[in-house]
Amino acid sequence: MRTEDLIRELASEVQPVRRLPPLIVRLLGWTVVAAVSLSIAVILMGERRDLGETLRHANFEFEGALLILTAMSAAIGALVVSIPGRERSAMVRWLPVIAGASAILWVVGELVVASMTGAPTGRLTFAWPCVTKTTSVAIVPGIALFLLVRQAAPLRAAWAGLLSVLATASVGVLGANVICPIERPVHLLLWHVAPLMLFAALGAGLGTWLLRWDRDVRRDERA
Amino acid sequence: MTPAQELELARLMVEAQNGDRQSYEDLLTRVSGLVQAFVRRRVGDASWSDDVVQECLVALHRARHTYDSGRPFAPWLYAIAQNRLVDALRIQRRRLLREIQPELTPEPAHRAVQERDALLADVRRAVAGLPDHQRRVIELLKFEELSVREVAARLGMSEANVKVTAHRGYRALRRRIEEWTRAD
Repeated sequence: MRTEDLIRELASEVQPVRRLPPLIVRLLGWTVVAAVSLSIAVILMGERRDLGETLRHANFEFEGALLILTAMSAAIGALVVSIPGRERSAMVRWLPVIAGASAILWVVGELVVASMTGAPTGRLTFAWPCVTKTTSVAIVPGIALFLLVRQAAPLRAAWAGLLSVLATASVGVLGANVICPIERPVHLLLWHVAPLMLFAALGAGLGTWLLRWDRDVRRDERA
Repeated sequence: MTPAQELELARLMVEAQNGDRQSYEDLLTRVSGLVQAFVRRRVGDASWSDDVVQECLVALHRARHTYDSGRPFAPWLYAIAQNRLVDALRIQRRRLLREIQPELTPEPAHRAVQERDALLADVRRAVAGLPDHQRRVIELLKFEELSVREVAARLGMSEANVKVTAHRGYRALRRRIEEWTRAD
């Protein structure tokens, strides 16, 4: 097909389009969904009994702050990379990864300090229920963020998927921290924060599979 | 792109988002020139550069709802163009690797060369036995390595017709070679 014919064909298809809402509106929408999902999950699964006391611990607060930073920056990153030309700096993609890694390193630090001071570090046990809790909390915000990203035009599908899942998994881990009463660093590391990166890697694959916006753009496939 | 050009394109894009057909056609025409220049600056006169331009136009069409009139048009457009170009380069690289792979593979023995030559001779014999129009299309596509568009122009056929003829030719070739293999 000649380019002039394609232009005529595309122009003949043109209809008024619903513009994408501003990024801040989409981000706020997702934040509300994430907060509501988190609250409902905590109500349904029950918060840990010592939550009031734990909330006053600097470690818990700092880890929570890092998780919120990871969740929000990853959600912003996912929404930014889904709009062509909006990404001004690669930091939009890397900041959430750094924040997530910092949350993991923070818990690693807790583990090192505990082993050096002789404080209990916990044992290597299987605690799949914590991963299940994380997933249960994350599933609704995850679907919501994937839908928001798909609404746009994610040119970097793998990054969009990675950041979407990192954002929602961070919300999930925050929920697991509020629900699960185990505070031993080994448990927190293996079953709460470390899976963040596994989820993120999984998200990159999911993104390539589900968010490939340009899949049907290729001329051959269109023809 | 000059600031005045960019403002004009942004205005056309907003009108296109509102469903104005004439503005959209005007926009796509101007954009195709810009994208063509963008692609040529990076890959020169590659035979597939027109395909990239067309893919870019289709991509722009599908992403037009994401353009925010409060933001500059150029970064939005060139992000799409860059994406399509990178994708095209990836496909070309894969295609090239597929083509040169057999040549890079060390031949284990003289016999392998003989077998390949015999197979090639069989293929040429099978092509020679095809009806005239199928034979011409396959010879031009595969032996002279012309693109579908070039073959269509050379033989005075539509591109779709070239594809259909080639497809039928391949099917006939496959059948013929399978028959020979069975007979051997």
